Amino acid sequence: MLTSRFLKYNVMALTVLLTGLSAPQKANASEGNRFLVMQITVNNQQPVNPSAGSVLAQEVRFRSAVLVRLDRTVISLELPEVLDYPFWLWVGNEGFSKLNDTERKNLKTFIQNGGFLLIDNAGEGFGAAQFERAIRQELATSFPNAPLQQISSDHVLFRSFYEVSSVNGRRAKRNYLEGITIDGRLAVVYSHNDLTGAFAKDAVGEWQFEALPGGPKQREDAIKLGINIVMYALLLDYKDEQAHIEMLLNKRRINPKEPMPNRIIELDD
Amino acid sequence: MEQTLHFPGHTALSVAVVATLSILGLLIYIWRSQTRARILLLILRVIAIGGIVVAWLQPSWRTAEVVRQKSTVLVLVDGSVSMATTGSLGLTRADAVAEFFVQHRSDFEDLEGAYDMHYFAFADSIRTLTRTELETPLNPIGGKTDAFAALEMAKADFKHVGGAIIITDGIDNEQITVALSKDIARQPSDRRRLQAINFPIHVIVPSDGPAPLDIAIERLSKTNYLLQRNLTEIDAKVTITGTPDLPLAVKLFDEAGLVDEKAGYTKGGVFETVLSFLPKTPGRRILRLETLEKDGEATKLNNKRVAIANVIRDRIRVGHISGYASWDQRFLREYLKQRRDTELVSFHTLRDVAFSPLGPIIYDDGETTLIPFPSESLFVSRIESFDLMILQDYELPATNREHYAEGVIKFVENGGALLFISGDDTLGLKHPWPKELNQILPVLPPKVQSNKMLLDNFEVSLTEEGVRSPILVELKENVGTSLPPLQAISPIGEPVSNANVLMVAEAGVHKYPVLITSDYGRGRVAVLLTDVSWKWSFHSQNREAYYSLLNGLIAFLIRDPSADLLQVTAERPRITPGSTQQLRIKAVPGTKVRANIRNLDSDLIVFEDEIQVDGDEHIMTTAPIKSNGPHAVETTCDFKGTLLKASDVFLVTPTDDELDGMTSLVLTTPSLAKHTGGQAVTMDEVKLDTLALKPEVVTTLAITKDTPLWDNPIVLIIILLALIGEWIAERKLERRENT
Repeated sequence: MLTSRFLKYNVMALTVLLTGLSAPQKANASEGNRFLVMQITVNNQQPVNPSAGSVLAQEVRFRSAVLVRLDRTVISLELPEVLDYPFWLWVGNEGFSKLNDTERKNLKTFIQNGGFLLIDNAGEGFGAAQFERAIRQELATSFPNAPLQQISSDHVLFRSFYEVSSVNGRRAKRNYLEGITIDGRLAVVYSHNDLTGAFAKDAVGEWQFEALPGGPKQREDAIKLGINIVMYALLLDYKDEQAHIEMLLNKRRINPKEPMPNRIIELDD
Repeated sequence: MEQTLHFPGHTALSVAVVATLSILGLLIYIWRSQTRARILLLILRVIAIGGIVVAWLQPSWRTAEVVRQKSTVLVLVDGSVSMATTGSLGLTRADAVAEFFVQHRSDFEDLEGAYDMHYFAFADSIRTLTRTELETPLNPIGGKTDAFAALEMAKADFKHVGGAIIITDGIDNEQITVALSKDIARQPSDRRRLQAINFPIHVIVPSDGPAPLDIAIERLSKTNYLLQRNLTEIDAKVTITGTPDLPLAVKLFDEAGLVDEKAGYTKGGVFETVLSFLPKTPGRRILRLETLEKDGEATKLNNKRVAIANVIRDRIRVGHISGYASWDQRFLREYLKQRRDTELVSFHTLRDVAFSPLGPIIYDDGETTLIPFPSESLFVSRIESFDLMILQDYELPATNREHYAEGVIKFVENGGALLFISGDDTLGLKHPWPKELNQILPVLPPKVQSNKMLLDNFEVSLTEEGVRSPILVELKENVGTSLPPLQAISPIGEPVSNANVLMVAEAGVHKYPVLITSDYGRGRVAVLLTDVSWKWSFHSQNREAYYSLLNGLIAFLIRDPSADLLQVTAERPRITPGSTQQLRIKAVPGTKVRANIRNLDSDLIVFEDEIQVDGDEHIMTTAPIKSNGPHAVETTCDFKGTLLKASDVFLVTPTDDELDGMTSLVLTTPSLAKHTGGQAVTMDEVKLDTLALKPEVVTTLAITKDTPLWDNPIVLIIILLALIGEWIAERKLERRENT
């Protein structure tokens, strides 16, 4: 069943990719409400796993009601247009120099405005360690009052669409995510496991990398994690409320047959 | 002018003492004496002593100007609504009083000969009448009975009150009289008031009690502050007398009509039940409880009770429904969550039948955290628990769509608020136009249906109506009339006739509506024809525009009074018939406001006026309002070409105490007689000529002349002659007795 589902997905993905995708282009402001993954680059580096963003968007579209744009959008953090969309993907596999003033300002403005940043460490060995060091330093500089912390396994992110219990990507190095919370909102998520490597496809639409050690199951788990991250970015703590939805719906007594609610009336000062 | 004998030097007491001693002395002497000589001696001595006494008393003729004033007697006749109660003999109390005046006409004429009589009708105020007018039954509409206060008002104009006669049913509601009747400790202020009454008060009550048959509802309670969209339960108690237990129904109405009804059977003369009421809009509501009426009842006024309910807003309960997760939904959600006065219930469609060239995708539901969409609860059974429903790029479920649409329409009609935000999926772009909601949508479908939103870099501005609208005041103040651009607008047809287009988007020569509002029934609807307004929030320099727009829009939709440029409040939610009312009017300074008051039962206008508002607020005092029942205050004013309206309601009704006491057998007014030395008596028993009343008051205005009598020389000569004669007679008598 799993195999037939994946076959179906791949055929659909190929169909959509061939009909919908074009060369990397600037963000199209005319489809402003649709979900788009905007991959950012710094220091004039080449984008890593550049197909991952659109594949993730397409998986979101197949599996949920979210309307998406499948444009493969890569943009430098220095450009003002980078502030047009609220979902950034920053994938690195090597170290980078400190951000310049414009880049840092854009990063801070983006987060303060309500944007969501997914950072993915796609490196191996030394490259991964360099990226790790650089990104931690940059985040500490840009957000000195909001440290990068492990995201608890009961965070709503892990239930925003799927019930996700494992954290991995193309690799399964660390079974947790880290994140930065600003004003109660998880604004930055950092994956150590080359999450985007699990989504990346080559020019003919084949998975670019093997997911190891778990294979297709691990990839499927990574896709689900990616979808949950997108859903969290769009819904925030909505799923936390859903746990109490019966109580919320029936909170006000409007029918004589309903029992009296337990109310605590809060008085304004 | 009058002349009197006046003794300036001594009182009448001293004269009496002297005279008495003299007569005693004379009697003793006569008893002892046998001879005429002794008698003569005695007479001379009496004359001498008498002369000395007269000189000592200094009598004079006093001529003075005096005024004899009749005492004032106040007659107060009860004109309160309880006098409309029918007695056991078939006459109302008011009729019985009129007959009393006819029967005792000659007694009153006699009283008018001896006293200065003044006649008044009283309830919560007094008015002067003639005795002839009292021979016709008064129209008893007064809202409460306060005999003591009426007496104080009546006596204020008179100096010498000799007494008061109060003709009443004896059921006084006010605190001082009730306390006197129970002999309970009175407040210091009451004691002072009682001490100021220095004349007797006589109380005359009808001879027969109320007719035995009566069906009465107890007063409404627990209506002071109700929470909007929270079920309120009203206790109703009906008491019957003079009839065996019977079946009856109790109905609860608000201004719109019947809200609940319960039927049952009385037990032991009592029927108790609970009725429910869901207040849907904030402000004052008029609630009315009614039960059945039967011919021959002592009164039918207590078969219904009215009360003002003050409905206050709980936290604004918002239902935020979206067709899919999106940035527009996400930023709206963040805005709603940051409002402290809002309780948010969200439902977003997270998954639908996915589009696929190969057919629908089958999911394993055990993997997801998705729950079924509760359409029936949201759009039908629980919709009334919301203050505001937001449908964001959302189409009602295809199955049973008309049923859900009916729920939404009824919700708005009953006072609910609806904000409809368009997008890729709605208003005919993905599915056919939502004709099930045509009744409430302020827009019509386009002539040619498109399947795409209009895309451009639109310049957004306020229309003339938008500039004037209170919805956009905060937006104008914070941002101005030129707003950040929008990149997508939903194509629609014309707005409906009563809709207001407040914002438009322009691209080249074309203008498209962006924000449209309208009223429907008791509710309001707004349509925002874009799905990219979230970008105003995402770009911090425009966030103020986003928040200001939504603040004003929500305030307008839920009828927050702060969103209204014209507001009116009736200062007293409840007044008695004949009282005046004060209207507090808030309007834009410099505008002219017209106000009228309409009786909601008769639909007649009972008061009209207009004022020029100079400051922020103005108090308008009405003429006395005599008509009974619920009244609406309606104000209008022209503001820059827009007609603003504001309204409020209040009740004109007797007090609950007055209605409670209409058939009471416990009389309180007679206690006034007991504590002032008066009589409390029935109309049949009273003898008016036996009522104790203070006599006339004599007032000396001026002493014009005092003519002394005692300093005449004759008096001195008489005294001397009497003394000489007495001396001679005594000598002679002595000589005679010695020889």
